[in-house]
Amino acid sequence: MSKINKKLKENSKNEDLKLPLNLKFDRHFSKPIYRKSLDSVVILFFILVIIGPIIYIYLTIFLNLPTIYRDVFNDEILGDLKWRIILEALAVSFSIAAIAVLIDIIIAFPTAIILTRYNFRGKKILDAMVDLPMAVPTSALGFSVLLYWGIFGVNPGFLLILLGHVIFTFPYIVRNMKIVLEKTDTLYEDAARTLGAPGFTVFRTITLPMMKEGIIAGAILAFTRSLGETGATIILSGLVETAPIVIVGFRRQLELPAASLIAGILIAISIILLFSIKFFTRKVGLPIKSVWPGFEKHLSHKSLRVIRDALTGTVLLLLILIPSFYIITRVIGADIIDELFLGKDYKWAYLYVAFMNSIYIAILAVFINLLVGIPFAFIIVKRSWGRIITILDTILDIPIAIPSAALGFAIFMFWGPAGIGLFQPGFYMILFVHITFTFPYMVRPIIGVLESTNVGVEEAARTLGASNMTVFRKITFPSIKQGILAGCIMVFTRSLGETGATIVVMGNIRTVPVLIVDWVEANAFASAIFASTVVIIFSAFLILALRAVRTQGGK
Amino acid sequence: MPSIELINITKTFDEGKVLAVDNISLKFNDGEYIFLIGPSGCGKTTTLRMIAGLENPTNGKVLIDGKNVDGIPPEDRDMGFIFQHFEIFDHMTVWENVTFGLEMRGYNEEYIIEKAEWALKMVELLENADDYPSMFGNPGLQKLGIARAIATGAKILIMDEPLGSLDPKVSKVFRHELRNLIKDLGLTAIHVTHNQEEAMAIADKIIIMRAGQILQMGTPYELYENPKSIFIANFLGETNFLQGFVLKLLENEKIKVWTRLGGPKIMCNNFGSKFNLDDSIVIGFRFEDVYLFPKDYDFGKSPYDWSKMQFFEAKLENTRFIGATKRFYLSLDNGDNFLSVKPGIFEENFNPGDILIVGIHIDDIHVFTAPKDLLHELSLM
Amino acid sequence: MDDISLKIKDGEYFIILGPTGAGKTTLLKIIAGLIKPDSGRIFFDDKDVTKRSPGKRNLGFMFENYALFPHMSIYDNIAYSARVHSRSPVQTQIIVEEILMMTLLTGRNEALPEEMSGGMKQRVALCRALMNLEQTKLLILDEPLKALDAGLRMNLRRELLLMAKSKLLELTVIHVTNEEQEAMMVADRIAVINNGKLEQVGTPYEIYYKPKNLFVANFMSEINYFEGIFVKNNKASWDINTNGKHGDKFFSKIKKNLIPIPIDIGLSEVFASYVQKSVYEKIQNGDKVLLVTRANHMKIRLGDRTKEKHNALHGKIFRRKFMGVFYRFEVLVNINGKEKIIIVTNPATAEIYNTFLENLEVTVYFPKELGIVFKHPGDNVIKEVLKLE
Repeated sequence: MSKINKKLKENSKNEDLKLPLNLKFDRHFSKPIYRKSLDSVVILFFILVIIGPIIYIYLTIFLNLPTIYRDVFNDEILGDLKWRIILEALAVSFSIAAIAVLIDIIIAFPTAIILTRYNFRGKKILDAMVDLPMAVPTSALGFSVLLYWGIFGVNPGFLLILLGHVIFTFPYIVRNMKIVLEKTDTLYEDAARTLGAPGFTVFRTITLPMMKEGIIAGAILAFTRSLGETGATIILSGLVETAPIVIVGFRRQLELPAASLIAGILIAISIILLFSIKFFTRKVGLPIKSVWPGFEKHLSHKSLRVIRDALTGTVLLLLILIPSFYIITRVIGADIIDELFLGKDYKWAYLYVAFMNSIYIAILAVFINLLVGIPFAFIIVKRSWGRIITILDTILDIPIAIPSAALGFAIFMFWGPAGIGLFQPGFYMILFVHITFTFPYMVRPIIGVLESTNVGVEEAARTLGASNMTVFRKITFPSIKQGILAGCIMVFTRSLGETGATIVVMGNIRTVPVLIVDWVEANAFASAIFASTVVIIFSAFLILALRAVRTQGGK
Repeated sequence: MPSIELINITKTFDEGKVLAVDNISLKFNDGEYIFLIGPSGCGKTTTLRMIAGLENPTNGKVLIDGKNVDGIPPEDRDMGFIFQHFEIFDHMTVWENVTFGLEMRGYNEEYIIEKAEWALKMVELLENADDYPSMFGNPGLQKLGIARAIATGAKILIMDEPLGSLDPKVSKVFRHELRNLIKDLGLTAIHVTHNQEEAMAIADKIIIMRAGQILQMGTPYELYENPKSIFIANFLGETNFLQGFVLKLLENEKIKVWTRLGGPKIMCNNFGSKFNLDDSIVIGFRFEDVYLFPKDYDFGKSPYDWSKMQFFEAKLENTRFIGATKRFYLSLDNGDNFLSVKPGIFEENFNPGDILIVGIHIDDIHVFTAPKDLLHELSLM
Repeated sequence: MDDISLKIKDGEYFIILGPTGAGKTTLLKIIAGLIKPDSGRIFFDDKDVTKRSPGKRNLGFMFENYALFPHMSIYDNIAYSARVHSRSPVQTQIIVEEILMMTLLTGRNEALPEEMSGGMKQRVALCRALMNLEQTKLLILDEPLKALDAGLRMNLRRELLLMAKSKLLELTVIHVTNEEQEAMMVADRIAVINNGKLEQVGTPYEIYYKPKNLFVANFMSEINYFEGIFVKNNKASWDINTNGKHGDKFFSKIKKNLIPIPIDIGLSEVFASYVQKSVYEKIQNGDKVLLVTRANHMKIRLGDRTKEKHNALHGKIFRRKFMGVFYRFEVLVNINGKEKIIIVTNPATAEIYNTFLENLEVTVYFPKELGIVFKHPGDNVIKEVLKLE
């Protein structure tokens, strides 16, 4: 092909013209061979990093079945105690996740509608506040919740875990609802209104069915986040144990077979859940045919709407917004200077080191995911490999769907001393784990913008004589910049806030969220309050940056 | 000088399940302004994209200047492409848009400036060179699209519904400007549209496609005056169709046709004696070829030669004035309806319900073999 | 949207015509109650409905691109209104199936909108809108044919008109379009809208022959315009009061209530044209005026005939193009040393095909009854109306 290229070039009248170096470079690297090699490298990385550990953990379970059986089900002293611990932890985790998602959905519906369909002063601030819990490290959030509900005498335990989980999963559900609501044209609602449907009927028969997939996508995300959360849960749990805490516990006691088993179970259930929900939502319909005119007309009444809005506002404030930021008010009364800066154990130095660790890890994770994520997003969107793309696209979501503590443990087993032995627990292993579980957060936004970029513009550039690489540099990249930036910020905040996966692989290294957990457990409340406030404010800046990027992209 | 030739081109999508273009061969001559038209999904856009290199044919060859361009990517084909949705680079200024193609070809700066200024002047956008395209409305964007395509000096211009995103009123003015520009520059142009009127208005040559095949090609005049099939007669311009059968074979390659259910008997040409006694046929005649006379019109007094006219009576149902033309809705005793179109300033004293004498010149009547399903042939969906 | 008052009569087919972005859809949505007007009121049958919710206005609204509910079958889409109003399910079923049969959509009850062609969607949307009509028989159509191919559009225009005028339905229709051909084809009356302002309301005939301003004149067809001076005292070199050859019923209808005036456009002979009284009252001797003729009202003859024809210009055929029903000529003429292209469209005949070739000398002219005169609106307005934006 390149030969024909040359021939045509030679024959054309501008043969003596010299292309500038960068265009020549582009032309050279537009050759299929480079594309193919890059594709192979990226896919190899993807398989090794994402699928490798998961397959390996099942391999270890399978190979060590006798050990596991002896250890978990039939220990000489403990009998099947560990199995019972595992079962109970799973039950607790699933019930908390289910109830939290249910509560979230109930609050999120009116919130999303208020945030998209209404216009009022302070809407932007409210919108940002609702997003914020997503970016704040959950251990800081959990600590804030602990202090807030402490006022009302709620003690660590099942209820407090639930109250914490409702908060940090809430933004996932609201955001997904908002996205679909913004996308669905009000045209359909207008059409229904002209056909005589009262407000509530329009919502139930038109808006709700069109939101269905968005709601479910948000619910899956929130459910799996709740299932896998560690940092806040350790702080709020008291004596109750959830599945990730059990994994962390087993890992700390080096009960590797038992830890493998529960990690394997958790991963399996999460993956099955992800697929079955994706599959069934398309089939499940809503009752759109029957209409109860009198009843629904009453429901559409103005006064009811006012009550609904007021109620939503109150619940939002008391259950979600205030608990998230309550901790900031405690900075004033806390004994920070004495404990943090003047204490003999140099807590401030620990905090500084942990903070820098967190930042380094987040930056490196962003950088590496950027390098691999962009070509991977291109593969998903542009290559016509049929079923392979569908499979890659589905596997991509797995790191989001499975609890990060379980994923962290799987990676520890695969790359760590028990497996390949490439890394020891410590900085690089933390980095590795963070790269894995943030990968989809980088790729998804890029896929999003790539799919919405206009292929026509790229074709226009090609008919004007631009080679593939030039088209990417000059046309495609400027239009997906925003998506890439959004992906970077998402990865950064997720990496910054992660606790569970870090604990499993950290060795002697500490990151901020883990440090907060340590200090809360050690009753160093003042230092924990200070550290939490710092990260909350830091995250608030990040989320504001993310929103600025998004609104710019919208223009 | 550029010429384009397609030889036995076939294109399928979805692993052969969808046949978009079915074994077509075509030749475009230098300096011609050619239209590809047909209903949605007829394969016209796919054909265009294969010429530009944006799709690869499943089978067959594309020759440009006699050279096979198989595997040559679009950037090396040196054609200008104009898109329906403009596809302007909106993060670049007007100037950067126009110079993009020139820079890609590695010309020196003076030449780039000269050509870009020339192209912008052609579309009257030179004053706006430093503006961003977001300031423009659709016509402005398309002007920029044209400037960008011609700036590279490409001799072949490929256009995919270039007027499709413009308001109807605007596109009716713009299309003449587009044709004038192309003619002044002496370009070979291929233009895809679903708007027949647009094709009739500015094409040198029209190719009509349906279901991946070429039905007929020729100048607008040839296609309009001699449509090969019922579909084409209906697709280009407005035509009345009456069903009937051959009642009598006459001398001089003529036949007498009896329209259905005891309608009027009409004499038609039968060149090449294609039709035989009792054949089922459909006759078609253009709306504007239907002449109307009051019932008491004295043909003897008129200076014209009426010998080749076919006359029959019809009832005027309704009249509509639509500006440049007037439309007369007529009905026959057998229940068939047809229309006559006259210039808007046509003088008449007709009222709905009047019985009129209808005259059609024998050479204006087209005779077709009756299809199995006339409705399908007339369906434009 | 700026201070619009309209009265639409019972049983009327009313067209709102204007370019994209003129505010047509906003107007429809105000009528339907989907947008609240900043000021002003809306009446149905003399009842103030300004505050009535859209659901209670009982009108049929067909949206641009149809807005069929994508998650509902064809049947459910059409039956939606009946269900919301809790009409008897059995009766609803009978009506819906009857409608499906009438529109040749039987057997596709369970199909989803995405599975249907443009023409079929259009029908379903129409049926859905019709199902909502009760006492108020008001049907609102927002660009109902826009998404369809040109050929199909021609057929469906006819169907729409037949339906609206059928004795069975007795509809009042408000139909929005940006295509003047479509408007002329179906309208009883037309409202021309531009930039949120009402330019003119009238029958197709009035809009076409007696446009109120340059925008309306230009929107309805291709035009030629001449800038000239009203020379009241300097009588035209030919008597403007004599009837032309067309001294017949047709022209006498056009010139009713019009006044003939001489206009100097800078040629040796002074032109003449009829002018509307309202315009005549505003212009004085020596004022600049704009003389407009429609391209299809211009006649074309071979050679220099300026001696025998009035309102005539001499030039040569620059370009000609066969367009089906018409030939379109661009004739290059010279007015006062300035070159100008005159557009002439004439019915296609064998004579034109054989004799009127490019580069031949010709004369183009128009009868004074078919001239349209405006007070000169200023160069900016001319540029704005005639430019392509």
